[in-house]
Amino acid sequence: MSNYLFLVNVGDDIVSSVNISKFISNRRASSSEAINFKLGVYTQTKYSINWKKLDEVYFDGLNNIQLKSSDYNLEIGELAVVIPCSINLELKDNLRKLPKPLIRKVDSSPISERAAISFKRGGALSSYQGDFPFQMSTIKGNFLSFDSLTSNSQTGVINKLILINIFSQELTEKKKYSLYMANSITKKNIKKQSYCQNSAAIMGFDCLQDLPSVFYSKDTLGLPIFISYHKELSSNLSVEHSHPPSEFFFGESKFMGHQLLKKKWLTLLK
Amino acid sequence: MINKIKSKLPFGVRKLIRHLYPFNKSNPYNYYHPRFNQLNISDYFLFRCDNFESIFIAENSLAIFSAEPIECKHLFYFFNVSGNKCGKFEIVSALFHYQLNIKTHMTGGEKIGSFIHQTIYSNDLLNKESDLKSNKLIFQHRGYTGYRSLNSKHDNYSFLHGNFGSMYFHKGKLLSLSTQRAEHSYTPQIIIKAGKFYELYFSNPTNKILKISITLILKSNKLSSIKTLYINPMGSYMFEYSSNSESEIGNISWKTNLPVGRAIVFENDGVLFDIFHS
Repeated sequence: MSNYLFLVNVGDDIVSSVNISKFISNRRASSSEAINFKLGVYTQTKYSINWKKLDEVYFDGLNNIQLKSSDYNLEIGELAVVIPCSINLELKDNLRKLPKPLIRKVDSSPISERAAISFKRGGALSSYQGDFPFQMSTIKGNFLSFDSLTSNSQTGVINKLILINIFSQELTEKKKYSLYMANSITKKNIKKQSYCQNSAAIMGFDCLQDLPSVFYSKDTLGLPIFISYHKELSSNLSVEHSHPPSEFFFGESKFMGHQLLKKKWLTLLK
Repeated sequence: MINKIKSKLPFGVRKLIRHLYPFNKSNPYNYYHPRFNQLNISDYFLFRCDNFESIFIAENSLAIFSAEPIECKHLFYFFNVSGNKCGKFEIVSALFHYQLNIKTHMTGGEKIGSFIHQTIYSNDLLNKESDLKSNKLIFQHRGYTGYRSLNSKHDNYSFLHGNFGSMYFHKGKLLSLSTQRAEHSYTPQIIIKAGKFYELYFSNPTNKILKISITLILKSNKLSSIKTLYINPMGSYMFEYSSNSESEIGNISWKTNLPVGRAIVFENDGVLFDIFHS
């Protein structure tokens, strides 16, 4: 398993950042503590099927690298994919297919190779240790997530779902896709948001405690990030990603449970 | 080559090998997994009723699996920092998600500690799903905790998903599938900043005392050992750290015998706070 990272412009003057260190996140104490690599930063604009190189970043003797979305002039919904790469890998200016990220594991210790992904608005910062698994970027898939992270229903609170979609393989055309919010009892759609491949779908929504909801796309998979903040600039920011449906099940039953659950919901949601 | 050989082995043999020395050094779980009616596994969550309000979003797993509201008895078992049970709360709800507002009357007056989430359904309902009846599917609770500062000007919870634990409650006892193995070093991808106040919450989801040695990696790459602590079985510890010295800005790392030794980090600047899993 190896993982991409990402920067995204979600609007409202929110700046996203990635902090990555050369230290291995989780390792056996006897394994080597650090790994040397560089970062490639690529974007694919709305109508393009090519990846354009934005940056190539080295540690230059430091232990950490921090990248910010505001450094790359991204449009709202545009992604910059951050790729940990071997120092010797030549990063071309234009690519049809993204390089596979470098494996940053040194032994069989669990936990993905992550970075701190943060969002900042005014003085408020919210982070999580995140990634976008390479394996997810090789399939088209579909997406289903529940409203577990939508409890900030107070007046003045703004809630957004950011669906990060990265497809690392070659595209022949750029299609438009749809992200839906539906009532999870009646299964009727409430809201629709268009997005294209290799971008972030951004859906603002109201949290109503008596209206349980579900978010889905039958077009692509994606990594859902829920952001909440009060419209007043002095409020704190809440950012968290929801678990994929496989996490509702333990151990060997994860894969089967995930498939059955998704099939049931996606059949009912029209 | 090794992966090719592995893929040809039957699942039971692969599982056995993974649990044998030396292949088990980073395996976070015990070999033995119980199979009893209504077994469901929970992460070990943090509650804070000190300077924070805590809420928990409990998932009604069978309702979510069946795509329809189903009556569920949610049980929450609370444990103090020493690992002793200090409270229990139960509620019946058919909603897909139940929001629990954690109060000290549920936690036996304890202000900080851990808790697990368990669910019970009527056997008639479970029997409708053959994979659940036969224990082929086991529900896991990785729900979400939300924290809000008591001094907060605006109502907004910061959320955190479940971390790790694999706990369950059976015959009046808190049990766990987690185990300690070889010594691991965990280094979150964060920079410790001067002028900020950090609270790192560690929990021990195993039945042995857990040793944690915390080290700061300074900008100069020098290591500075800052604390060694011991946590009771099923207990927890809140480690506090702050520094105003620019030269101490660096990474933080800790060694434990947990293959997944993550912590929950609160980063405070005196007004606002950030919370995340390490």
